[in-house]
Amino acid sequence: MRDLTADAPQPLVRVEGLKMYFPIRTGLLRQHTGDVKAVDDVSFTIPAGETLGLVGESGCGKSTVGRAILRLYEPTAGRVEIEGEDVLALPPNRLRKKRPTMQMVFQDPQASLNPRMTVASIIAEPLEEHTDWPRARKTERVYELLDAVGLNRRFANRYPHEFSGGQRQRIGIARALALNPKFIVCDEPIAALDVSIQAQVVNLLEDLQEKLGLTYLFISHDLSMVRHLATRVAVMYLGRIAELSNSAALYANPLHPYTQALLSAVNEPDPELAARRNRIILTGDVPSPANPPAGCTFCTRCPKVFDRCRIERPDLVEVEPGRQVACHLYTEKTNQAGSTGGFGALSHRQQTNQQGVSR
Amino acid sequence: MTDATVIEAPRSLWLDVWAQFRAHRGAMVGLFVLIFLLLFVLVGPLFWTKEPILVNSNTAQMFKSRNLGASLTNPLGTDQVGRDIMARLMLGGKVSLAVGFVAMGVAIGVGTLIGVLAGYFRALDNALMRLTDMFLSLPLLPLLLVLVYLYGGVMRAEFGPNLGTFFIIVAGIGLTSWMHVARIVRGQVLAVKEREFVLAARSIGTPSRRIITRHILPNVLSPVMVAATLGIANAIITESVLSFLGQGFQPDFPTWGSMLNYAYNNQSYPVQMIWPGLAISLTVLSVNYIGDGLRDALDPRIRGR
Repeated sequence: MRDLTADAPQPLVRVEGLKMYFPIRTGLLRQHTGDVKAVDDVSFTIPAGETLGLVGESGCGKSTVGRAILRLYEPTAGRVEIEGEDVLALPPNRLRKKRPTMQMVFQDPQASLNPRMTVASIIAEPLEEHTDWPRARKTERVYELLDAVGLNRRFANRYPHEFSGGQRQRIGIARALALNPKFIVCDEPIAALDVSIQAQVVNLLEDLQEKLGLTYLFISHDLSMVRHLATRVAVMYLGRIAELSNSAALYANPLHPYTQALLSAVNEPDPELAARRNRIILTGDVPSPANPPAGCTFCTRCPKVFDRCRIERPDLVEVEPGRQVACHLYTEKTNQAGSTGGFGALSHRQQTNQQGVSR
Repeated sequence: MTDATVIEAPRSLWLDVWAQFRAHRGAMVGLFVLIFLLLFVLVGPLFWTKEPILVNSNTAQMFKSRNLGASLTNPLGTDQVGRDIMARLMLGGKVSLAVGFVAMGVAIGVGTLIGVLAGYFRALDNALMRLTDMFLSLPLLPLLLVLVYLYGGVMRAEFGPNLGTFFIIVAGIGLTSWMHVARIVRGQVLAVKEREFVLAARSIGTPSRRIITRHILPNVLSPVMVAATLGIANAIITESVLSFLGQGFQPDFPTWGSMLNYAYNNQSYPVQMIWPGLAISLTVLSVNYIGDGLRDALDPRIRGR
């Protein structure tokens, strides 16, 4: 893992105040009666060559952030600078020219490959769109890419259904790499794969990052994979970032109560430790993003909720060097609860493990 | 990595498709039947030169040659005014097949275009689908009759009696039978459009027109193919109805549909009904099987199994 406290180089990706509202239309006249606030005021930066992990539970807006950054959706507000250029303000023809720098790897490798195209034509599609190379050169590049992702060149003429999940994901990665991008959004690239294959794909992504100097936005709900891969981690809850921190510190000492709960759910391979750990079981459901709570979005489920949380929405502020949290526990000078952090602070909630054994 | 020299170059898709198509027995039989029918109507008249349209001016001879059974001079017999049925079948087939294929082509073309536009571009969806509903709610046969009645004369004056009638019939049938295709295609496009590979293509920067031709159209092909094969039969039958009602080709000009109709009114000789009926059935059946084989051959998940 890299040194995280060192001065960050000029960021390759800068996201400021990104908002993605999906309008709700009701009635006969399809009147605009509200918005699903899938992403509400998200800001972060990713320095070149680094990986930002974006974690959170299903429906919290992780994938929407990834797609809005690449302008696969038209965001409601905000700026997304990639190499200093605001992607959200580009006219269509300039956006098309910009596409080669930013690419995406999709969650479901079965669905993200056209079943009627051969592997060669799938990987060559970006080349068809953005280069005027002769056919032989395109074919050569396709073979190079197959080598790079560890697939046999003989597979070029086959169709996606002839491959396993891991191989299909490699095809998806090869397609994303075809135009030498600088920034790749990995939208849960391992969620649909077997555990045994996940490691292979993650290692491939790491190797490629090292070789090609790629910058990743790695969206996942698998916290242990993010820990392995990411230099910094952003935890999202209901369309907002709850905590943004370098990964070592976040995993050692999670600050936001939601992060604490999330980390306590990670499986522990050692049965001794597993029996001893304190699971924080959150009660209730995630509120609807169409009608989020007035104050902190997490106030309906937070074990440490107090009055201010229900009224005032906390901003994402830096509480330690390189660590930002959106929680009133850390902005209120008088409240010292945050300083204990970790699991200990919550030990009164859940004394037993899942088997009900207390140690 | 494997040695680069042993790797075959990217194969042609159409060679794979043909290999799979050949493996489909029904499709191959259908293809041969269709080729036989085409040869029969196109090459046949070169060898079988009996008069198909004009009635023998010698009334006595004409009366003697009416409604004959099969013989060496008239292998399929003669009709109620003494014309050779085989010659009429050849000439009529040319028209019927042309009407069937071209009208089906027009219907599929218009239907696919409207279906894809409605399915892919949300802004157009409502307008185009209401237009489709409007066409569906029209009584088609009276509409066709009015259409041919109003514009048939202009077309006949422009292109000659037979070609003019052909154009107006093909246009009329095509423009009144695209609605079901449009609906099927729209539904399929709506489903395919949400698949991740379309999103992937957009993230690459593929423009909409190529997303449609490269990713969406190949994936909505199967239902279009089925609709097309059924459309041919419909077009042939509709043409015969029009001719029967006096708004199609002139009564002495044979088509399979009109031959069937005249034979139906001359029921003492049912054998005259068999031949045009058989020809229409064979055409529809063979096209149906070809469509079936083509659909399988174009699907890589079935191909090679």
